[in-house]
Amino acid sequence: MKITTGFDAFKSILIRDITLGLRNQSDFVNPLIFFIIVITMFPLSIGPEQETLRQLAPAIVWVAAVLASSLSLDGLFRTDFEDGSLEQILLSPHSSMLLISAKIFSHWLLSGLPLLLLVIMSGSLLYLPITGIKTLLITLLLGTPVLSLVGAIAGALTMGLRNSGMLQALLTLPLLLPLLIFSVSAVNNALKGLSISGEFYFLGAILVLALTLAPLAVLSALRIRLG
Amino acid sequence: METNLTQSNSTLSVSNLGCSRYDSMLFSNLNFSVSNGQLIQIEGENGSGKTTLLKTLCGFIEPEEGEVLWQGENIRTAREAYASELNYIGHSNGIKSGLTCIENLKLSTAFTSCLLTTDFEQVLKQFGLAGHEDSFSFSLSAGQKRRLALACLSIRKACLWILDEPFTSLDEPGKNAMKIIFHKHLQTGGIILMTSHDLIQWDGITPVTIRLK
Repeated sequence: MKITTGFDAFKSILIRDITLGLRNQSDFVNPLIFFIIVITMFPLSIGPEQETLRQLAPAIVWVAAVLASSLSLDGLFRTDFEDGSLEQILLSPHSSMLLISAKIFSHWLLSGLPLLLLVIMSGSLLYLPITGIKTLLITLLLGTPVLSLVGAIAGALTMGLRNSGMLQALLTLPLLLPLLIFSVSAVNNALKGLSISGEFYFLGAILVLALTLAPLAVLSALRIRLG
Repeated sequence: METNLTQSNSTLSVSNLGCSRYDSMLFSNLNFSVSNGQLIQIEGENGSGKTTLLKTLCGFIEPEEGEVLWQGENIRTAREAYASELNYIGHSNGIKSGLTCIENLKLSTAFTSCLLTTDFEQVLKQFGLAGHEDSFSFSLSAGQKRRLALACLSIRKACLWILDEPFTSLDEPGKNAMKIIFHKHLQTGGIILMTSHDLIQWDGITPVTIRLK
C-alpha cells in the first residue's frame, strides 16, 4: 500500500507528458522549426538593412512565437480525450486543477522554454543588440507561459471538434494582443534607453492573471466537452 | 493482501434518474441502490443508454432529472469523497499508447489516493501480461490493452468500480482471470457496476440486473 499525495500526482502527470512529448519528437520539434523558418523569412524578404530589421525584430520574434505556440497546442488535450485518459484525470481524487496545471506546465517546458534558447540565436540574425535580446528574453519568459495557459483554454474548448486547430488560433490570437503590445513596446523602449518597468509590471500582471484563472477556465471547458 | 476496502457501509443510490441525449429521452424514473459486496449488471439493447447511465453515475453528464447519491449525498457536492472511492473504465481504456506497460501502471499514482501495490511486475503477471513490461502499449492487441486497463484499475484503491463492457475483446482465460479479480473485490466489500451483454453466471455471485428499455 502506498498513499499518494497531490504532489505525486502532479509529478507523474508532468513526467508522463514530458516522456510522451520527447518520444513523439515531431510534435515537439516541428513548432520550433516553424519558428526558425518564420524568423529567417523576414531578413530574406525585407532585405539586409540593419536599421529596419532591428526595428522590426521584437515584433517578428513575438509574432513567430505566438504562431508557433498555437501550432503546438493542437494535441494538448486531443490525445487524452481520444484514449480516455482525460476521463481518468477528471475522476482523480487529486485536484483536477493540479493535474491540468501539470499538463500545461509540461507544454510550456516543451514549447516555451526551447523558444527562449532559439531567441538567443535568432536575435543576432535580426541585428538585435545585447540589451534588446536581454529584454526580449525577459518578455518571453513572462509571456510564453501565458501562451500555453490561454492556448490551453482554447484547446479545451475545441477538443474533439473537426478543424480544431484553426478555431483554436482564432480564439486565442485576439486574447494575446495585449501581451504582444506590451512585450514589443518593452523591447523598443529598452533599445531607446527608456524605462521598461511599466511594461514588465503589465506582463507580470497578465501572467499572474493567466496562472490563476486559466486552469479554472480549462477545467470547466473540459467538463463541458466531456458531458 | 486482504485489506478491507471500506470501514463503513457504502451505498450508491439513484433516485428518479432520467437522462436524455441529443433531445431524446433515454430513460427516466430510474431507482436503485447498491451497497457493499453487490454486483450490478446493467442490460439493455444498443442505444438504450447504458453508457450514458454510467457516465451520469460518474458525474460526467448532468442528469435531466433526479440525482445520484453517494453515502446519501449528491455526487456533485461530495465530489472529492466520491472520486476517491471510484474507479471507472469506459469504452476507451484510458492507457497511453506511447508509454510502456510498466509506465502505464506507474501512472496510476495520479489517479488514486492510495496504490494497493507497487510490485508492478507481479500485477502484470497476474493479468497475463508477463514479458510485456517494457513493450509499448500501442504494440499490444486489443485484448491485451483491455487487460492492461483492468490491471491499472485493480491497483487503485477504490470501493466502487464502474465498468463499461469490461469483457470486450477479452478471451476465455482473460475473462476467467477477471472473474477472480471481481470475486475478490466483492468479497472485500467492493461494489461493481457494469454493463455487459453476456449474462453473468458465476459461482457464489448473484448479480442484480437492471434493464434499460
